[in-house]
Amino acid sequence: MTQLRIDQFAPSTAAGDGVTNGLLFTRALLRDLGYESDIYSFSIPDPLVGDILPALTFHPSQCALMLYHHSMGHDHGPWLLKQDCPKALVYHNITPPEFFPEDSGLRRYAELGLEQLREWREEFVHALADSPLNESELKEAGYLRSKTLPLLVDTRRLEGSQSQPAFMDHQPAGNRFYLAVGRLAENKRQYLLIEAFYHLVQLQKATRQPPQRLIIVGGTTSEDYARGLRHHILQLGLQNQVLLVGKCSEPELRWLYQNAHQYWCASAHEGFCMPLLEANYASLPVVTQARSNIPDTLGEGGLLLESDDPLDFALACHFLNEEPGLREKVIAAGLRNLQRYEIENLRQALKEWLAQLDFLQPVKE
Amino acid sequence: MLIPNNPDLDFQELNRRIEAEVQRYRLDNKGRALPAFDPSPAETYDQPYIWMELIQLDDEPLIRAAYPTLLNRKAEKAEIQQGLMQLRSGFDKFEVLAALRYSPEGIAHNAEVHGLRRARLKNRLRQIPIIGKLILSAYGVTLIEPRNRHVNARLDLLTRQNKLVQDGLHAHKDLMQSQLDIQQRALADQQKALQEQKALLQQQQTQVQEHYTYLKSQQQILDQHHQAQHQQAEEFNRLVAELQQAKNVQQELRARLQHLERQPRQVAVAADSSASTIVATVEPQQHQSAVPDSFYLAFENRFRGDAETIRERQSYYLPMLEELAPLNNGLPLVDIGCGRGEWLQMLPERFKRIGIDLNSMNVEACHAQGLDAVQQDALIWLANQPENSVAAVTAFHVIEHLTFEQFNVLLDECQRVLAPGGVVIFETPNPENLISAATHFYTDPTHLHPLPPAFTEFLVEFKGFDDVQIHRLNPIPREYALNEDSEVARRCDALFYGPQDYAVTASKSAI
Repeated sequence: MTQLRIDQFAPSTAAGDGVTNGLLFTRALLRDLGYESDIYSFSIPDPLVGDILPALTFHPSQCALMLYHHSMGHDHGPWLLKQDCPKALVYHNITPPEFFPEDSGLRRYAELGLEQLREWREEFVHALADSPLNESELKEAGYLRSKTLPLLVDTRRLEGSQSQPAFMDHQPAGNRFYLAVGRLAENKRQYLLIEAFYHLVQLQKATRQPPQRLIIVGGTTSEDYARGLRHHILQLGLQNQVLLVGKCSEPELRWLYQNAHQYWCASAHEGFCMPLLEANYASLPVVTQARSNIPDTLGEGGLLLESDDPLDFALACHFLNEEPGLREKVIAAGLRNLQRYEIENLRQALKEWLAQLDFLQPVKE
Repeated sequence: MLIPNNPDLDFQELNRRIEAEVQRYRLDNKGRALPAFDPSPAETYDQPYIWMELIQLDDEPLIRAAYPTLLNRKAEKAEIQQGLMQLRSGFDKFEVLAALRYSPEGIAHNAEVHGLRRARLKNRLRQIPIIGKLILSAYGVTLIEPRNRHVNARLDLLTRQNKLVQDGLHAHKDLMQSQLDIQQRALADQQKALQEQKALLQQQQTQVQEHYTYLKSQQQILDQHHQAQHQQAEEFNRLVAELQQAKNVQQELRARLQHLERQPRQVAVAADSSASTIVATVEPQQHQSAVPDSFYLAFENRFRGDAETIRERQSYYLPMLEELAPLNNGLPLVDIGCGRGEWLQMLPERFKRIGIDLNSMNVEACHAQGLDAVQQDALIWLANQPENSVAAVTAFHVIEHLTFEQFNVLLDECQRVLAPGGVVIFETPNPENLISAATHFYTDPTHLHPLPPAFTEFLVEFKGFDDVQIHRLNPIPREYALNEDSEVARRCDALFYGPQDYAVTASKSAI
């Protein structure tokens, strides 16, 4: 008997991108469950060529179920709707268009994405969301059948090799660095982290501290905003302490999570916010703010601030450094939080979800 | 403030201390507001640069960036003009930078610079009248040869760069041309594909036309089928009507057969002497029982249930009798095994009621309530009644005491004595409830065997009664049942907690 095939499609993929990691993780789970499974896309980065297949080679007749990943508007709708096989939606959240500058391409595609989400609701037999926030958006868009299943986090990914990034060679020995990972885009609000770092340095002036750095990792989405960040760093006189280092490889990221002192996030909008779990995994205490999906993903796994005030942020970080026992308790809570995303639990949840789609025949164990 | 999300931490205390620190920090830094973040600053050079970056700039960007870097302030418009004039009239950019760096403002700011010594010296010489210029000229003359080489080399570099740019432009032009060619070819291909698609569409149109014709012929066939079905339905209705008529004839025939079967007994009853013989032979048998009447009374008191429950259950039958014509016309209702007259007492006084019971104590009890009651075997009593003289015969929990023979006689006698339209109501334990059938039924030692409803219904029908109905009554209350949503529970509920009694009701044909 040939195995049942469940494939995935995302209009575009990128190495290290959250959605792409989710695709790879879901494929591993599906294969574990005994299905044949491949990923198809129209845009495949070099490191993933061969691992992800060109969308034009997709065979709908052989596919029992296509999981379509939606995270931004795109122009491949006609192709998608033409594929004659049962399709389920996996919704990864679209950054609200108002976070992007008016008349920008990003804003246009974010708006298109929301429009497509509403228009296509009849196309899917079922819908998965990777967080409760996203599921509520699905319901708002008129989806009647949906479930929250965070098929994003392959904590095994963090088990790989580590490599010290080259830019760390130029940093003074024994430095203590705070880490933030995320693209340079308006909604990530890295400027609040820069200001918090400024306040933290002021707060610690009285005491002897090792050299401190704020390392912001992530490619540039918005050129204007990135220039604004550089300008702000200069204005605050932090050009030697706040480093905008661009994208990093997976081994470099692993090294950074492993060696950082705290993980910082001030993002105003996150569909899921995977770095929080990556920090939890690396026993890195997290400080962040209660915005969008962050409280759901973080659980008890870090310090969660009510306000956006960078001074509050700086003081939380300061206490985390100074208060005896606090750091250890926050790290322990992070590890507890991670258990919610254990691969065994997710595999079982995926199995149960597939079992209730009655047109799929069960796979032989 | 921190949102409590971890039971291991004392957030109240933590927040209190953070708040105190925030207040203290604000007080210490009063008036030192941070510059506001500008999310999309214009591309400007009006900001401090590090030295190595600054010297890579040229022309206006160099002047604009030099002021914030070296003097910590933006350049005025006139200053930019002056700087540009110097640069464009052939001044070395290091001399311009040195002039700024070693101005009083620049010395005050003290920015970090490298390699400005010679430029600074030249600036100073230039300020000395006549001699300074002479020295600079002499210096220039000594440097003519290397400078000439430098200029030549630079000119050469620019020529090469220019060539590179031109080559690039040519290459770009070629590339554009080849892309244009490709696009044109693609367009031609697309046009060809469109032509092919058009041909395909035309072909498909023909096919659709053919399909349409085919569907039309199918439609005709379906119409014919439909007509045939209609005719079949009419035929079927006619057969149903015929069957109904045959049933009626069968019922008439059965009634006439029973009439014939009854005649010898009626002859026997008619003869007085033989009638008394039957009474004589039957009566002593009943009365010779070793079981005293007091046993039955005690037995009933123990097992009958309270009078209120019985009344409530029997009230079920009242609506059947309310409009019964023979009863309303003055013919009596006869209750066989009337007990203490509970049922008779429930009936409206306008109805004529007669109780029959073998037990003398019961009969006395009825008399005491002013009810008409007879102590006699019911079969004998019935045998003595004329035809068509009774409106209804009821018997609650009696027929399970009768042999099959006696039950037959009872039904025959009822058929005879009932007036047309008269009814019988016989209630008995329901053996479909397995607990009733297996245990409660045998609590009474005089019960013979359970009577399944299907059998009773059949027998009553066989005896020529009309309107035979089975009423299943008195189920075990739901709270004692299994009350589970499963097939097993549903079946168990039906078998063990279903109706405990049933009644058969029937009427004598009105013809």
